[in-house]
Amino acid sequence: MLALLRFSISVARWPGIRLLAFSIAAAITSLAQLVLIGQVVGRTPAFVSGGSAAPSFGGFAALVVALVLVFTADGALTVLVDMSAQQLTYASDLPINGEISRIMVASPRIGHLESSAVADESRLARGMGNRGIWVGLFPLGDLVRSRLLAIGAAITVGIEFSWTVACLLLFTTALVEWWSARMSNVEQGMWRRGTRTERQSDYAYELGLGGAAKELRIFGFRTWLLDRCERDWLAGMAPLWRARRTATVRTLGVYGVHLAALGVAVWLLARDATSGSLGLTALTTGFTAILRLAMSANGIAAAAVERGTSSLQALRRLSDIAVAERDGVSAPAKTPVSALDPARPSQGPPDVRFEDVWFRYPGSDVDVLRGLTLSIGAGEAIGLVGVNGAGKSTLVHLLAGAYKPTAGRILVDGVDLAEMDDDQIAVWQRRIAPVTQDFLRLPLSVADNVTLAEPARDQLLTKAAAATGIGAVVERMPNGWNTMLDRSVAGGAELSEGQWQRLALTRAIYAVSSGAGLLVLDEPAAALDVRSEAELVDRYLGLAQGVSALLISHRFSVVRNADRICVLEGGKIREQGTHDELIATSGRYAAMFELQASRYVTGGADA
Amino acid sequence: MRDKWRSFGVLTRLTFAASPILAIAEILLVIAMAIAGPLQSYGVASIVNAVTKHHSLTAGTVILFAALVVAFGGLVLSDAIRSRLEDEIEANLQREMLGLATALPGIAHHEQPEIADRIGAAREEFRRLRGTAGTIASGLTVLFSTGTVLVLLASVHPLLLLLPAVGLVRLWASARTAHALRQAITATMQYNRRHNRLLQLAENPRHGLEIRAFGMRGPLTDRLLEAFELQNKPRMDAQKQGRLLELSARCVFGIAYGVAIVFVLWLARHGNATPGDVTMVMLLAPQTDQSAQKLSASVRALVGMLDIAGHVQWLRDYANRQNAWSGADEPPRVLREGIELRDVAFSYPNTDQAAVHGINVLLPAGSTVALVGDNGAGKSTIVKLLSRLYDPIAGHIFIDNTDLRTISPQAWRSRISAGFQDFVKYQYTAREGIGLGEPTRLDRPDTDYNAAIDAGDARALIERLPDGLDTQLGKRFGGTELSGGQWQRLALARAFLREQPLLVLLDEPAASLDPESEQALFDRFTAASTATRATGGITLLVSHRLSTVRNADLILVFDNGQLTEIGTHDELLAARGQYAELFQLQADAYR
Repeated sequence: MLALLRFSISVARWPGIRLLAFSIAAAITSLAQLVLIGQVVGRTPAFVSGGSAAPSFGGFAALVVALVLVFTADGALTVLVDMSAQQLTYASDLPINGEISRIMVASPRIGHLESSAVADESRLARGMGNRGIWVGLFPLGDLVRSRLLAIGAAITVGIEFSWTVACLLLFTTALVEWWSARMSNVEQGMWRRGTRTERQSDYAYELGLGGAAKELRIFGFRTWLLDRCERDWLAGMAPLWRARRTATVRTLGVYGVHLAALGVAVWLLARDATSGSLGLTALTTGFTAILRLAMSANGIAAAAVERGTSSLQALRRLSDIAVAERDGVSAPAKTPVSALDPARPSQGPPDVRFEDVWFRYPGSDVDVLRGLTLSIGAGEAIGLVGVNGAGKSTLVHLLAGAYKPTAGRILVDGVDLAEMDDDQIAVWQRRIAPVTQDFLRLPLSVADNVTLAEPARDQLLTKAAAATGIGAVVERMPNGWNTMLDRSVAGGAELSEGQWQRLALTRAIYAVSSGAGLLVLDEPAAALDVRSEAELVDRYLGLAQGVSALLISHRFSVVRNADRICVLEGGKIREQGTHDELIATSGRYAAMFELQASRYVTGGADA
Repeated sequence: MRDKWRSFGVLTRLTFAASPILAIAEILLVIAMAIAGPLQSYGVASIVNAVTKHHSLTAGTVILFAALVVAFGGLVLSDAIRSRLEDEIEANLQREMLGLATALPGIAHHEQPEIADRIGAAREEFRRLRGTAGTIASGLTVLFSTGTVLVLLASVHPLLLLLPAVGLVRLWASARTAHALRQAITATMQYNRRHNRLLQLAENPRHGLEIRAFGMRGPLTDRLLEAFELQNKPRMDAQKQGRLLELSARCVFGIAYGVAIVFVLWLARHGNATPGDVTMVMLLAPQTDQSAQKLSASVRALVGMLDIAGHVQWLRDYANRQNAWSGADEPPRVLREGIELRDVAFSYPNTDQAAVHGINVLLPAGSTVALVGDNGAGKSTIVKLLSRLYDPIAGHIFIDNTDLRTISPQAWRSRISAGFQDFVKYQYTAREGIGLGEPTRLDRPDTDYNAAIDAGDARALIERLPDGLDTQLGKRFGGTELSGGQWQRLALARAFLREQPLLVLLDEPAASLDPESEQALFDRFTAASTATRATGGITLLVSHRLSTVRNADLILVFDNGQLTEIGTHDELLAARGQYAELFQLQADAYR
């Protein structure tokens, strides 16, 4: 509770302080209310019967007025606590989510994005629906209030009646709160994590509602899927239900103890009242205070605050874990996100050399690259071919310094990437214009997809768009370049697979025309049809003019005109040379080429 | 308003259908607890009265303690019962939604944005409906505790009934807040989606390089936070207004409370009320206030749930309308002539552009047919029409002279098979991954799978798996992850499992494979076609790689939704039309 309070005040000063102040005030008014009720009731019989023992009218009226004021203030404060809790959660949303995102993008290296430790911690920090810490902040005021009230009520019981009873009740109330918080967390934990089979049941559900729409119908496995979903669900719930039954019996026991203590308190109070050793005021105050105390266990809020606190701790650990998972690269300084991206240097086309590079992904025991040596000269266009899974995309990531090689060196203009610091690597990355296989599709405007980080220069944009053929598509869109590529937004549009690919290419070409010196295209034509692919191939070398280029494809039409073609197999470069040289050596490349070519040339009348 | 009542009916039925016994037990418990709350005040009041009149305190003490036992015991038990009831509600809903969605004969609901969105919304939110039992229970609590309070207050003086009436003002304030908030949430849902999508991009290692190289780390984070702000601001404003309203309502209630106390004191002064009555009114007033607070929370929750229940009801209605289209006939056992498309036209719902039109062609029994053309030319539409995932809007498809519309979709589909470019990577065992291609054969011995495994070229893959066919596949449940090509082989084995199909549809199943795999697939495809010929079955292959299709018996060339050329490879080359041009274009790369 205290950790979250400190956090809330540090992250959103005034909403945090307001919440704390209102909660304390609310606890005080609640307490004053029960004391005043005792005072009013205690004097009522005398006031009612009149006579000499009656309290003065003015004094009694003042008490009643005070009670009404306190009651009204108490009600108003309840709303105010709620309101400031809401303000606090909204005010802290941005800093919390901003911090998590900042940690994710803080480094030019990306090893932490692959790490399950980072993913787990970030999931915990963020919580369900981005409400990890939120869950704890929201009931924070409530908890402060109920705990203060419990202590105040116990003191009242002690003063008016018996300190032993007060301590006993405070203890059992705390016990109830602790226990129900524990139970609530256990339940939430199971519910959130879900057992394995329960997740399987969710999976069956996803398949049915979309994932397997076509196959489900054609193969006719609807009944199977429904059974499977049901069976997995039952198997997942059974242990939960068993655990819940046991927990309920225990909870009944805990409440039994609490009730027994209450019973003793009520009985003692009634006994003293009967013997006349306790006045009406003390009796009424005693009863109201006992009831207030008994009811003030706030297990649900306590549990939520605990969960929020564990999210907070996860957030605090996240940065260190992310750094550790990036091969221990130096901790990112607290740079604001806006200062993370360096400007693109104008250094022209780079010269890149891989020298005996080995690489395996962290946690894996398979070497993806085994002694790869490759050079891309300044201004040279290299084609890279290899079967699926040969490590082509890994090579791109190493080249950009997103990962460190396990062994060997990667030199950029003669400088070893391993010797560059984060800032230098970030600058190097800005010299690259990549289109990766899973290229980026931003749910933003068409223009943002190309120039999000650049000052948009219309002329360059139009030129790049014309080169990839996306310009014509954009012109037909309702809002042109400002059309949102998000179908769920009014006036938004969705692109086809091929159009997205052209857009990704446009982004890379725009970057090249504004100074990037190395163009990397990883399967740039995968989603394009025959005609578009052919058009694209014609334009490739024109686009790559004056920059270094790495073209990766298993389509020979795409790579054959490169200055040099490298065949990647078994984690190293098997062959390299121009298309004609490779065909002449009759190696792997020639074999693969012949295979594809034969489908076009043998036996055809036109061949 | 009628819709709201209907939705309320949906909610009530949901609760009782899940488990009538639990629902009734929960309701009884909740009622007992609701009465027990005000009874505590009554107990204290009796004690106060007893003390002033020097009577025995036993009755008051017993009432007070009994009320406490019911309150605490009921809390524990009703919690347990409610959790279970909510599980059952969730399961019931899941069963129903899945049942409804999968029973739809077509797939329009996946491809039509607005319908997909509604189903998506229902799917995301229906879990919240598990709270139905809780909301109904807390509504009942308030109802009964208010009832008890009313009885107790009326026992002092009927005029005091005005006090809870003032509490209703808060209720109104709450309902308004809830409504405004709900509207703000709906209106800002798009920003929530945008935020989540941008976040996924920022965290995905596959995009890490592009984001860094294009200098998007800062701008992307800014956009992400901007989306968050766009989402939060209207929600915050809506709540703030509502809370101010509630705040005023609270103050009004405080004044009413003051008036009530003075009134009871006045009554007591004139001998029309006891000191116990004064105590009770003082203790009950905060309880009335709490009831109003709980009720307003219930109202807020209920307003939200009614919306979701509306989605569920909408899906039910939609499913009822859709199930109207179907036929009852059985497909022929053997194809003798073939499948004929006569003047077939189709356009997707809510578009005015025809996806295909004027299609006339006979696919001869026992033949291998290839569909070629640019992206969006209409190839996949034909596949969907042939598998009756849609019916043509004009024209007919005849299966040996029987109109496909008169054949039951389920019966027809049990005689066809398919492999798609967007095949599913089932996170089940390898046996299930293949066996789902013919679910009636899922429990057959391994040997029954051999032919399909070979046809899909998945033999080596299966043999390398740690537990063979029983290996759990996929990362999602900690199984063995396969490469793209391996998944593809599994998908093909699945497509080839069904014996003697009348039609096998292969819609670009090798689009992302390397050349050697593509060649291997081509060979298997030819082999599979031979097997299908026994029953006159037709194999239909869609591709934009002309090299893959040249050996087909018949090649159909599509352009802009029209069938422009029909013939064999040689015939089409000789015709020097579009096919010849495309083939030349691709062949040029290999000169």
